Amino acid sequence: MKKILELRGINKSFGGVSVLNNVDLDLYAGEILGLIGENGAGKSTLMKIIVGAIQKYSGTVTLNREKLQSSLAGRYLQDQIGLVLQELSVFLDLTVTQNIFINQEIKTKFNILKQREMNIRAKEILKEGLGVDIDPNRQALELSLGQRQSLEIARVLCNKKRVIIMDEPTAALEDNERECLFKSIQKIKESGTSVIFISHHLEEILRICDRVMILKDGYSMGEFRRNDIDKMAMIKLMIGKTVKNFYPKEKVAIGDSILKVVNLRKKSYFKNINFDLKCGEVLGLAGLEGCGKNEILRCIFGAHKYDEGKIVVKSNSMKKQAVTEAMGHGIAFLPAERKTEGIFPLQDVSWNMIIANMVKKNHFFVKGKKEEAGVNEYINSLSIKVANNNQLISHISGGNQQKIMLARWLMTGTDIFLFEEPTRGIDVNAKTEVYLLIGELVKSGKGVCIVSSDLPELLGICDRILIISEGEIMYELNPKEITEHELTDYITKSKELIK
Amino acid sequence: MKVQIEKLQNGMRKIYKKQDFGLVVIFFIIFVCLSLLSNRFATLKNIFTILNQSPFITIMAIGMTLVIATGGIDLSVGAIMSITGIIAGDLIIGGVNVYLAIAIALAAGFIIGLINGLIITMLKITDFIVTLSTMTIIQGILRVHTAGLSIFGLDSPDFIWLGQGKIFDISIPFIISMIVLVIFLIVTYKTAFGKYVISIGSNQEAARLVGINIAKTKTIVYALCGLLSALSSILITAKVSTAMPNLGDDYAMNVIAAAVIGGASLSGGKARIFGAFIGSLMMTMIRNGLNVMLVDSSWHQVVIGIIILVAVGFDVFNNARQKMVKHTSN
Repeated sequence: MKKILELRGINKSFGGVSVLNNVDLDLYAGEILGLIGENGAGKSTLMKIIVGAIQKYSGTVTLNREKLQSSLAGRYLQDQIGLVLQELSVFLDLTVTQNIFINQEIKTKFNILKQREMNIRAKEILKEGLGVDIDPNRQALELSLGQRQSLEIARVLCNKKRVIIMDEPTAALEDNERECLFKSIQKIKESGTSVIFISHHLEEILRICDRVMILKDGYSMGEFRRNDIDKMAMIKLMIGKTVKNFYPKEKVAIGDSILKVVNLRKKSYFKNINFDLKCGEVLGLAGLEGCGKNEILRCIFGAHKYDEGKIVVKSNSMKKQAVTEAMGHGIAFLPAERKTEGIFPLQDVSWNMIIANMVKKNHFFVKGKKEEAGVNEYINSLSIKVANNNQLISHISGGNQQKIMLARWLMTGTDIFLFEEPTRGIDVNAKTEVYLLIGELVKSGKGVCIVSSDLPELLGICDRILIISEGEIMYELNPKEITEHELTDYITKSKELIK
Repeated sequence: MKVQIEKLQNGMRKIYKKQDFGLVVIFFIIFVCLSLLSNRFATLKNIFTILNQSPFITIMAIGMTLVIATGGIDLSVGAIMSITGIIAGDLIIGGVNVYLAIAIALAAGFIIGLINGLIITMLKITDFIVTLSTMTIIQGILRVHTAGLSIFGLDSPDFIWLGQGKIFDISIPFIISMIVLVIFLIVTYKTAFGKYVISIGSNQEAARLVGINIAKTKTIVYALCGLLSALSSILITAKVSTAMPNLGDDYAMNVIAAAVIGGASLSGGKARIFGAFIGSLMMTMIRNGLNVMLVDSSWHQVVIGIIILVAVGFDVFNNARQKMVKHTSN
């Protein structure tokens, strides 16, 4: 097979801290190479070197047998290598075509856009390159997350590239959309373009990649063919120890009901929602994107309004549909989009931790020392890795941010935790830590309700799973009695059942 | 003794955070430059003049800093200044007790700010448009009411003392501005309200999801900004013992500039109250320096524009550098 990209002896350090040590990488034409490693292992730095965004490093990059002088490489690499970023950068107000051709429009000699030609090309790229059918005149706002992801890839595909790098492309996708993406990636591969696929989901890596490369603390742990490695071995190389149980779950006695949802209805979102959550229980809500599961959680927390129904917390029913009321009743909510809805990016660790408690206790003055002490306590007890309390929250890893979000609510003395995608975008090790913390919560008699699109996660940590489809609860399942495959079936079947 | 010094240092550090250090450095560089350019600049008398000219802008820049911290902007501060001065002038000339007149004018500023805040939060119209509209409306009302004429002869001694009085050569307005500074340093950094203000600017959605009442907090901030504009207006009206309908015409931009020089980020999430004070002092000092050097006042605008660019540019550069250092240490 033809080698298309070769990295030899790449070293890179930032201000004396070495991030990459003597890393080699080979990429052959028309293959999919998985790249895995914990947060901070050096994956993004390595990718930045490949696309030419970082130009000062030692070692050699050879693309298509041409050795590149690092100082000249940037431009050339950008022409040859496409990057699909983790955060979608789709312009929601623009049409599909405009999004695909942004900054690379097809123009006449007089700089006038060739609209029709671009439309045809856009349709062609989407259909032939990715195997998806989207009307090029639609506005990006109307598209699902998966379709937006396709736009992002189409943008890269519209100029012929030799290599496409995808940084966690599946992080925000639901199961069915993920399947579509995998098909698209296969198509790209068939056309002879190589793909570097970065993901925290090891199952995905094993499914679609031909080979996998593992980074740990800036060192390459080697490249392996898919058939030569399994999940356990990958984890061992990634985090340096064996994990016996990804979904640690202790037996906890389930007590009385603490949250009761009665006949909740919100027009065009959900109806007839009845369930209760008990002390010591982890309840999972599963369903396809847009089935209303997230909306139910947000309504319980008072962040969104519902039309009818009753929410009862320990025999007190809530009336105001306000966040402060839910907080007063001991309910906490951790949103899926940590960056846009969870953290205060310009503020430090302790600010981010104490803010909810301040609102709940309604103090007039800041209780400086007392609160700092509380912050230190939680940093220790949840083993949150931060340089100090004054470190900006945007400078720490996703897993630790999630722990801070958790500490934020633990401080307020919460009994009911509502999680939306509790482990989105955090690495294997940190995931397990979050599950352990959820275990601690229920052990101390709290109730936890989780909305997740990560099915193994739901099966691993929940005591009960409710399947929601088109805004209604269709099934109640015991995770011990079903397999992942069956769960997928229930989720998709329930949709057909309604139809 | 050593412990006391350390305590004092810690206290100082809390007031002017690390970020303000660069600003203080620029301030002194400009001071030294102006001193070298003119031997009449760095005299004790002139320094007092600068201090006594600065409080009007300082007081308003503090309010503006809070508004900007929420991610908003208030263009109506100048208009609020004009109308509250006229209200106070009318009432005093009409024979109303001076203190009552002042209280009414302050209340008027507060209420106009409150209205700004309510329209922005309840009707969800952009702050820029709302305050631009109130500014225009107020200016129109003033034109109708005063026909462009100033109110002269506000010579009640109690009133004039507020603007012209001195304690040990330090003017009353400056002392009041320092009291306002201390109060707002406490409000911003030591109260929960201050944290809410900054949190909203940092991430409004996250603020909503931890239960912060966004409408209430924002409305109070605009009301405070209106109140401080009225306070500044009364002090300056008392200083010149004349209420002028065009008093605040140039102020909105100058106040925003002072806040921005002080380090306020127009995208919100940062409140640098002490920075606003230094920013205001800097603006006043530059104007004074140019005056002392007998530079034509038309050139002042040009110089101030350049200073804003340099100060903000320096800040952006400095932040970028800090970010680099932090990222690499990760």
